[in-house]
Amino acid sequence: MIKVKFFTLLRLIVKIREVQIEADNICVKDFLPLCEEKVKVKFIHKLLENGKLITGTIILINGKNIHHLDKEKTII
Amino acid sequence: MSYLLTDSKIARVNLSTKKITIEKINMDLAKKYLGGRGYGSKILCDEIDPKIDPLAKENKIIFADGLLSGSFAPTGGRYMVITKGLLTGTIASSNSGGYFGAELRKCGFFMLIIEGKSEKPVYLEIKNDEIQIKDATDLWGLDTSKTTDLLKEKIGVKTAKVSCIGPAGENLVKIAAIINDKARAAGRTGVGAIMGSKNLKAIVAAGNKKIEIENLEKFREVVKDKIKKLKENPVTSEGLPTFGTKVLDNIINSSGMYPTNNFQLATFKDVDEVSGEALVAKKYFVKNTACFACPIGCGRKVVLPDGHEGEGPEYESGWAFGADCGVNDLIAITKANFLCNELGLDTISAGTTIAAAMELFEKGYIKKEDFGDAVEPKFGSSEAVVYYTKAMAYREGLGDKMAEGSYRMAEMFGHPELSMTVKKQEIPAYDPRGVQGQALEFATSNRGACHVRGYLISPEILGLPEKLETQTTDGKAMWVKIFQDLSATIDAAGMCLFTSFALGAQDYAELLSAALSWDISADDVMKIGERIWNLERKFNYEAGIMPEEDTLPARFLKEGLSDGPQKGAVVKLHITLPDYYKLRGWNPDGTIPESKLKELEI
Repeated sequence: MIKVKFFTLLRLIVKIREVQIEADNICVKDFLPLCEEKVKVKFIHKLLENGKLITGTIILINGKNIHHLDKEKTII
Repeated sequence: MSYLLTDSKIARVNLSTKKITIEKINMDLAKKYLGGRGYGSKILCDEIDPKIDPLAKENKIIFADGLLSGSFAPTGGRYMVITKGLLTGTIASSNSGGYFGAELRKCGFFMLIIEGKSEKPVYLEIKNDEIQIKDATDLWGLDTSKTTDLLKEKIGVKTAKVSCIGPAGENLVKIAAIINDKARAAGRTGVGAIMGSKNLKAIVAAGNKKIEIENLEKFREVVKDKIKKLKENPVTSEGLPTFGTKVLDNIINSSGMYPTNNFQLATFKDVDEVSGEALVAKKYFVKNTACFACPIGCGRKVVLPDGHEGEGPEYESGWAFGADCGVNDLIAITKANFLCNELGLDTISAGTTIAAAMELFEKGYIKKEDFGDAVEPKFGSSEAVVYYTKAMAYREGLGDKMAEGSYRMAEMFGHPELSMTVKKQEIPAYDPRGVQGQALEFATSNRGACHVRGYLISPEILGLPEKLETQTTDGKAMWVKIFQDLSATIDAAGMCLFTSFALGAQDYAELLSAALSWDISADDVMKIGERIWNLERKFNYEAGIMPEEDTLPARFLKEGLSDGPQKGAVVKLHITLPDYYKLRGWNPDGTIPESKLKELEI
């Protein structure tokens, strides 16, 4: 089970503080569509462009910025 | 009509002799230092002995517009207050937005140099070219809001702008701010106390001169390009307008560097109750507000359930009265923020001084007899943050000790190590252990701990202009130098630091060149910033602020972060500081060699 917390503009867009999604051993890029499906709002375009992180996007996994891990390919 | 620079004047007002003289701008100095923090600091350094007592009548307080203030450069309306600071003993320069700076320019003034000391309370009335020193006996004791309203009535111009002190400045509170437009603050370094020491309650300005740009078409074209960049950047186009700086609460907390309970913890369990998102969700936030010529609009108009309205809290203020005091009550936090605006206090220093008192109380160093029947200064107490904000401004009870700032207060109770300060100024809302670059910046800032002297959070956390790893030390000294120098130039230009999320040195060079028909390059922009930085450093050294003070409280150097994703981290200043001195071209002991001063033509 992966717990996702939405902050700042994303929280306004999805109108939810957090969701829990059943998934395991999945990378960020593949996980985001599951999130969209769960919250029923499109938001990936705010984070990725052509599958790559947009400058200034902040995705933290347990407080670590994925930019310093394996970016969008980081396994959660 | 008034040309941006060539027609603006400098007014020298002596409050002892009541003599007012008008001077021309020295164009050579303007080219070397621009305006605001640059030109103003140069005047202060040339005209006062750095060793003087900040409260002496020989100290001067300078209100200096940025070079572009009053033009329609994006955010071009800021002014700087420069003096020798009471809190730190360093050069103190504090920057404010709103509309006062631009109004000063519409009166035809680029700078006001205030000298001497009045025997009784006075205010300055500026109506276009005419400056008068007027009696302020009836204003003394009033809060900044009432002072502003009364002065607008007195001058008889509804659009007049007021910069003033509240009771905190009058009472020489060392963390007193100067407030303009009721809610904008030249907040840090205690500049309000210097104004109070001179018995200068306020300055009211009303001007109607149209500010002309020599090559208007070119300037318009450049401004349009910079506004486009600001509108395309996610921080300046969406993040700041939507949440203000409180966009940061959850981000900084999740990154494990959101100081809680006087920096004892790095995460706050109740962050969701006090965040920028909460301010919107709880419907306290009513609308955005913007300073002069600002396309960002990060200001927050807020109305509380009891009808009390005002501006704020922004990130730092919300954190200082919130997590740092362990308080999760957004209403109390906002009320404390409103009180700071009304009474004229720096929100960061006020909140964190209360937090230090709370830790002193928690550890038993402040005892019941120290506050008597007043509110217990206890972590988590909403009542305490509101009560002691007021008590500080009026120097009542324990508030009298708090009015000295957290360092002197903690020293009075025998434990200065519990004051989270650099050069006696309180550290802002980022635990330095979580960000090695920002830690170095806090340690070396010329006015004591300060995030806006070099906002390393931008690359280290927000990833702008590129993402730096928080704990690495490699290259951090270089980034700190770049951010410090660029910030100095932005301040001297009269623009808001927030523009730097989207603009770089080349953009500022283009704006300055177009506005003034000068030929300024990106290299010049960085060189001007470096010159200002070194000038300030030289002043501090001559004032007796030694390089040994380029450090942080022991808590950050010896105790690892206690919680959060960066648990165990400490500041590695022993690595970054020597790198920084070397990169700045200073001696290994942190002093500036003559050759560097010569190179920078200081």
